[in-house]
Amino acid sequence: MTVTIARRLALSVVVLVIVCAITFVIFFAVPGKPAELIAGKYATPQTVALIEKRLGLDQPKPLQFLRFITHAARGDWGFSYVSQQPVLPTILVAFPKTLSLTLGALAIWILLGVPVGILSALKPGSVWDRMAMVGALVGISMPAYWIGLLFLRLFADLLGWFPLGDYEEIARAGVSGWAHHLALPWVTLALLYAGWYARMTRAQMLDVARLDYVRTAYAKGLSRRAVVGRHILRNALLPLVTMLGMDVAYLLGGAVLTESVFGIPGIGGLAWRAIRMRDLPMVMGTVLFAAVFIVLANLIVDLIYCALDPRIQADA
Amino acid sequence: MFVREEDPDYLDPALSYGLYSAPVTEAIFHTLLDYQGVPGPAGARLIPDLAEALPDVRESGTLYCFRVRREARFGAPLHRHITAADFKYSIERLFKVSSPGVNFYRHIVGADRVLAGRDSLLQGVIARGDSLYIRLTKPDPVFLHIVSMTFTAPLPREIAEPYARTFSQHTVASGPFQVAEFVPRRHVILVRNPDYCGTPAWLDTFELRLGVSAINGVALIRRGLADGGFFEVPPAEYARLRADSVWRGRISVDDGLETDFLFFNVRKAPFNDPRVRQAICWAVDRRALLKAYSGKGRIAGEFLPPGMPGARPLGRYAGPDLRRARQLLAAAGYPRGFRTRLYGYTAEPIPRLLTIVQQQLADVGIRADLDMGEAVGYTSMAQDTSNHVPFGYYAWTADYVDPSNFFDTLLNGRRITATNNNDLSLFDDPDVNDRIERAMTTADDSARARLWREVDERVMDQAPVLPLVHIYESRLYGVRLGGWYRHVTRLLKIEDLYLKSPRSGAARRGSP
Amino acid sequence: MTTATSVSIEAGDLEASRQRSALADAARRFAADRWALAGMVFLSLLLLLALGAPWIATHVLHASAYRLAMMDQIQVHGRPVEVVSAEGVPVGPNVRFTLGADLIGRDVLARILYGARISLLVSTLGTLLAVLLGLAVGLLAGFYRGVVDAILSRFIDAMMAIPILLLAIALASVLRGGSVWTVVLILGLVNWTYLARILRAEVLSLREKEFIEAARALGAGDRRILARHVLPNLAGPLLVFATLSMAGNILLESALSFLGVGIQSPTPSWGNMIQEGMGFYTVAWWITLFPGLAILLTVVSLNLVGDGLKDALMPGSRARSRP
Repeated sequence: MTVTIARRLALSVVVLVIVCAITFVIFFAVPGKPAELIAGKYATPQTVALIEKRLGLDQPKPLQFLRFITHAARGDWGFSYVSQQPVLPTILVAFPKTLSLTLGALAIWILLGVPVGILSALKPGSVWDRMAMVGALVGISMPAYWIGLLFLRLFADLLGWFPLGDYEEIARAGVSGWAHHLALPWVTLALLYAGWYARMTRAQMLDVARLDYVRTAYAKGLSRRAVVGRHILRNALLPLVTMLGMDVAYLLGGAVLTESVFGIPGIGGLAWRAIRMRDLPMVMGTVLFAAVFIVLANLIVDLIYCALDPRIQADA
Repeated sequence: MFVREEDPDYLDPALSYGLYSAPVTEAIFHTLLDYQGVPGPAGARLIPDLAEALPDVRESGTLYCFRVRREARFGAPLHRHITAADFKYSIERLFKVSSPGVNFYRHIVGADRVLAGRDSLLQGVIARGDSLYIRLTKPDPVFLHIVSMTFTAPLPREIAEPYARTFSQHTVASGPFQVAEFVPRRHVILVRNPDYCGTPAWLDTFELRLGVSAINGVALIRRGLADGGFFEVPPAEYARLRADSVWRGRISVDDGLETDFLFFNVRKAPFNDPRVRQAICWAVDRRALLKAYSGKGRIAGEFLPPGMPGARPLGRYAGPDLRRARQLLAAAGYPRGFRTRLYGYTAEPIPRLLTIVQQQLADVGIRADLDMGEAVGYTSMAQDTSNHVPFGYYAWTADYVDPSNFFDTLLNGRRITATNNNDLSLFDDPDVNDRIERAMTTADDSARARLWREVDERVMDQAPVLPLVHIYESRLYGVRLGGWYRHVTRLLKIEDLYLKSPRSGAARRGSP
Repeated sequence: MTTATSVSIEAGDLEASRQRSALADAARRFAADRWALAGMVFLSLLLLLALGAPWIATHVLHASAYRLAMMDQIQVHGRPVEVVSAEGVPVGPNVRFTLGADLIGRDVLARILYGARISLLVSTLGTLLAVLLGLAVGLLAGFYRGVVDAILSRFIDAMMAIPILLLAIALASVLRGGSVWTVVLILGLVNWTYLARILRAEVLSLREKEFIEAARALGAGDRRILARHVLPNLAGPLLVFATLSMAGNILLESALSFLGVGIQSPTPSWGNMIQEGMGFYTVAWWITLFPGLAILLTVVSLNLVGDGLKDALMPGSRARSRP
């Protein structure tokens, strides 16, 4: 088991390095010098050269990459070209906002999607099932930013029940203020995922219900409730947990669309601005940050599966 | 209490250079001279602030002699007298921290050596006790304006040195306010600085809440939860507020000293023929373009924004006149028009703007393909002459209140450089160049204004640029706030703000 | 003919006829699914509208997706009103502009029709590219295993570790230009990893099946095995993936255009229409509402069809996706 863990970890690190390399390559195909951006309107070639030297931009690219990797491993993720602030602390400051958004939405979509899926699976073909699945379908087909704008127009602008975006810290406005500002973004994000989870839950439960050992359980005379509770649910929900891990990991990397519509200064906004401003250190930082979560989630999920189902061997 | 979405870029007078951070930085850091606190063009008059009087100018304009006021003192935590050495230290620091303002001070004697790294002290700035002498390599009639920029605000070496990168958290004030608290992304709280030797501010406390977007800012101001904000009123809100009888009076709409224009590369066919350029000037319907700005501006019939002291609208090319445009094109040898590329970038409302221009040009046979890049790289791309950009969009806001900032920087052919070139048209007319340089050295105000107007007329004749719209700035102010006005250079002087007492509406000292 | 060859021909024929009847079954199952049919109907309608957009705009709507009518005047409640007001606010749905005008006086409905062309074209081509890439990599990794698989899998992992949207934005910023081809390239580059993984898993399981062993025993080379035995069995997952991927691509392309790094104005795309109208959603809601509805209906239809295909082509493995 430890060998597996160690091997997985090593592979994960390799993956992270490849992620950095991909990002690096993408960005060095870009024309335009970031030093000119920093120097500003009245820059002279000398100022630009000085800035390039200070930031180490005049060195060969492979060297810059190596420098980044070695520094990153130590926790120094460089300084933003645009704001001159250190990258990792900036990301960490933005992280709680993304985390707030993700966790709140997560709570809503699980509480909404999974029960709906379960109920639908218990009464397949009923009116409830039909309506629920239509709803779920609509949920997964909506553009997130569009529905966000719609909510803003309806609930914030016309009705005035919610603020028009922005993020409020707990420290400043208390939990109620924080939640009040996040309510619409939470619902927007949750609607999308609730649809997926409702469908997945239903599909999984129906699948498991057809399996042999479930039929055996029924044949043995167990009540429906017992069968559902003891066998179906547990096995159906396992893949959902996997999906959850991945979804959360992706969201923690920054939900660019929702954050931009609602003006939440999270990692999504950071990454988005960094990419457009060609702020390479910040781009590397946000991509790496997001990748860490995803790789971590993958690792945990793989290990859970290994532990729970010895039939599945760790593959190459 | 004001609101703002982004943090001030720095609370460091050397590094702060944003339109929206300026009022805050300018409230904390004052320097030798300041602008008179009145609305309108009279606000461009300089008066002594930390200096005893306007400086003695000797040696035919190359030596400026200032005396620091005896009562001038730094605020907390130092409370000590400000000496000339503090000014010298501050100016030298600009070079050390690569301040964006460094280029304004390049003609101080010794600046080139410091810039090249061969010297750490600036020879041309001499401090002796309370006397400050600044020596220039050549006379500059706008030097007083340059000295009044916050870049020269004095800084105490004993605090600025140890906190080199983090001065924003350890500010020492020289102006009417000092920083009580700056929590990034949360707020900036200013309190009145009792050590300031000039007229004290009305407000006790000024809070700037960060992280509030413009649209929320408007909502908060309307509900009375905020008194104002450092943001441009968003166009949709602007339209709504103007329709409301109460609120239309609370929007401050002022000349932003900005001209949005199209430039033609006069060295590249077909724009090398002035008739082609004039034809395009007649083809463009600026009234439609103004709609893309939500009406927040005025049609530009001249290059210099009329908000500049001494400037007057010229009303040129009051069109559109498509017949005349087609005649000119035919006369220049393009009876069926031609094809070209129009460059711009993707900041609002430029894509819409250029789409409108594109259609207007198509109506006279000119097919302009749009090339929209990212805002980030656009300026350096356009400023690189080897790119031969033929036709593009540009906007210029005054860095300081003098027409030379427009004409000399953007249209003086003698300033053309290979890269970082600001004369995007590569316009080089010896007559215009001479007039520009003559205007810059003329001392008499009205004569100078007349000379600049002549430059403007000639520029509009030759049309290396097609001015589209002069942009207005709009700010929204809450119901209980008084003392707000748009200052021509300082934008908003926080020290002049006060809260109206709910009963009488008269000024009242006190905190919000 | 030797016995061996005749046996192989028989085996091949048997398999071919097996595949044919499977296809017929699938088609029947699909036709019985009412929702999937509804989706097909909508998509066909959309395709027709998209193809006929120029004609419809000119002859039916008398409007233009490109021509600006900013300074024109129309009658609203008997009074002349400028299509775009001095403050930049356009008119809403009325007699002349069926779904309203956008911020510079273009007809929203006409633009939605043209936008359909773009959305359908871009998502189809993007899916095609993703399928080609995913197929290539998935096949190689699953079939050859070993070192090839190890390297490819790590590469896939790495690409999947970068959030799609960020990757797309980064690529878009780099490949300057909002042209259709750039967006197609991005969509393809971003989506292939999912297919590669699915196909790899399928190929890995197929490898072990008997008919592959049989074919090998008869001396068939790698390429023949791939072409005649492996590929046809991948058709099912491929088709399902393609449809669902098209749905995802429409959403992704609109997201990119919304963020300003996809299709650029003046080419209308549903995403960039929403983006243009975003600043004015309080006073001109029609500019954002209708393109979004178009996206919603199209994606719902694609999902319905995709679900139907999944149920039709892969019946034994799972319960029906929908009641």
